Amino acid sequence: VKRIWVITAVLFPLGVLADIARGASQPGLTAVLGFAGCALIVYVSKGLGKAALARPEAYYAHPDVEEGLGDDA
Amino acid sequence: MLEHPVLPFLVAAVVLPLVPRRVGGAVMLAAPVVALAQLLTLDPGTSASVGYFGFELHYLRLDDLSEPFALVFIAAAFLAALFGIATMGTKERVAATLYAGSGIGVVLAGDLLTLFVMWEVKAVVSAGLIALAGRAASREAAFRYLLVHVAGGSLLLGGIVWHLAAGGSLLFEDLGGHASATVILVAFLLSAAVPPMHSWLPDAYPEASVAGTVFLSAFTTKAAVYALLRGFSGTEALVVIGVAMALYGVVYAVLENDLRRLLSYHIVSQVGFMVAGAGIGTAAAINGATAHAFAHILYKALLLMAAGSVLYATGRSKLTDLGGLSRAMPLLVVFYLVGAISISGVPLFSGFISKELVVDAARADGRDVVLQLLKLASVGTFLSVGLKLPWFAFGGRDRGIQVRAVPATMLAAMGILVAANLVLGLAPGLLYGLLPFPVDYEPYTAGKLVEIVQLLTFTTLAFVLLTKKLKTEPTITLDTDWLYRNAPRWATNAATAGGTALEEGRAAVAERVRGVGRQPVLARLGFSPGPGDGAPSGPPPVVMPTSVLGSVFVGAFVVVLAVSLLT
Repeated sequence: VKRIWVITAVLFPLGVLADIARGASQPGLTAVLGFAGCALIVYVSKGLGKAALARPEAYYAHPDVEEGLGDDA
Repeated sequence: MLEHPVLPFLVAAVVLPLVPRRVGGAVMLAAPVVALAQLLTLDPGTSASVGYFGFELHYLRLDDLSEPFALVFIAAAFLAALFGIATMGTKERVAATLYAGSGIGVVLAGDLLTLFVMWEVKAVVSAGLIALAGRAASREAAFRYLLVHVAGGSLLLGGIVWHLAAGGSLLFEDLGGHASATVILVAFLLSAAVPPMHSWLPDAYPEASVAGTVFLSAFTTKAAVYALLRGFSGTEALVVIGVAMALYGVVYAVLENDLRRLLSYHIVSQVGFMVAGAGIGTAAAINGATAHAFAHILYKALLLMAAGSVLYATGRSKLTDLGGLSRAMPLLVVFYLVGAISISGVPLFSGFISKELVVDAARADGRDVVLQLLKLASVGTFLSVGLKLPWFAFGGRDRGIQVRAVPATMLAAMGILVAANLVLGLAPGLLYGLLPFPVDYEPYTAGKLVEIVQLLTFTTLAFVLLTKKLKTEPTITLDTDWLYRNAPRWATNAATAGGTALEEGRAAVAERVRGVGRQPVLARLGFSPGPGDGAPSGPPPVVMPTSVLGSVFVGAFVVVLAVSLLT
């Protein structure tokens, strides 16, 4: 885990330099979007899942219709 | 009439039940080949029409917009058939063939009535295709799918009738302007799986058979994208809707545990790019949406074929049940990864040259927020399809899962798609030449490569740091289908509660009047025993609430019709 942080820390300035070299209007933005965006999506999704959306797999199975549970895939 | 590329599919559907299964496979493959030959001999700009009860029906229109869609639909029909001939039964083959044919019919329809007929045939046979997977869960999902699409079809017909009543033309051209267009737009959006009217897709597609899902992924949503491009390009609301959709699918894909359901949510997400492109409405954006639909059909088919092959080979489709498959099925892993790399927009593969067209159109149109949000959706796509799914399904400890061999025809279909995705990525001119407008875009510039490599690299780094957090759980995720999946149960409970109260009331009255025991009286009067006699037997009266739900849909249609005739 520590190594990944080190790699990130090394690559980020390189990305910013590359952005400046290609004349991007906001150097480093793409790298931040990739890294922070990924974290944001994971935390928001998992948070929503935990707070409201995730249910046990049998949630929709109707207790009175046994064949509704059939799963012979 | 004979030159219509839908015809071979109709003929094949009639012939299939009459010939032995082995010959049927050849028939199923021959239909798209003949259709392709027909399409190629038609002149661009063809428009064939016939009079019908005073209407002029343009049943066949081939122009710059319908041609790329028709071409890729035919290619998808062929490859999905090749993938499916080993596993599909005759009935399923008939449904799949009709489905592919009606999908092609939709994009070649030049007037609204032909469009509606093809649209409805497509909805009904695709429901059949889902149900024919044979499991109870498939039949239930197919029924829900049918209800939703019948509602959508009713809206479409209501909107068309209103449009005509208001003096609109039957020709399927740009529809914006009149209020009736909004009704038609909603019907198109439902079919494009725009939230909150999208849940039929992740609900039903994963319940179809392994090959059925591949067919389904190609036609319905992309036919709707075509309809949006044709009728509503430049509608500002579509930009917001498309971007929201692209992110919505991404969020759900992170939570999803089932392989094919995860990929289904990424259909929602990817179609969001196309809807946004239709909304931006510039020539570059329409090109982008068309190109992305084209490429999407190819790489999504590949992804669903690979996921379906995993299900076929292992009998498992949940990430929590899989893991360590890379040693047992290396070829499939390679096939899957090519699809994953394509959808993630990695340079040299098809998604890069198509998605960037949409993104660049947003940039050129000065929409910075849209641009960044679409990039965020790209991050999420790479995260779920490119990293999470292969990490948990193929990576990790070998669990010693029993694997059976995948038929050669299935592998062949995937092999062709791998080649197709690579060829499009390496020679973007092939696709760009098919698009409705001249393309003024060069995907392979140093600046764009630096940008995309950074985006993907930093996403990967964040993913590696967060793998623990991303670990899948054996859960399902509530979506808007919660509403209509629970509605019958609520109605049943309400009805049962009402019925019980009624029976008790009757019993009390009977007891007082006759002065005899409760049960014999009830029995004499023909009432069923009350709930006091142990657990109720037999299934609950689901028929009643279902027909209530159906009546609501039909009622909505009648209201739309009435409004249309009064205005």
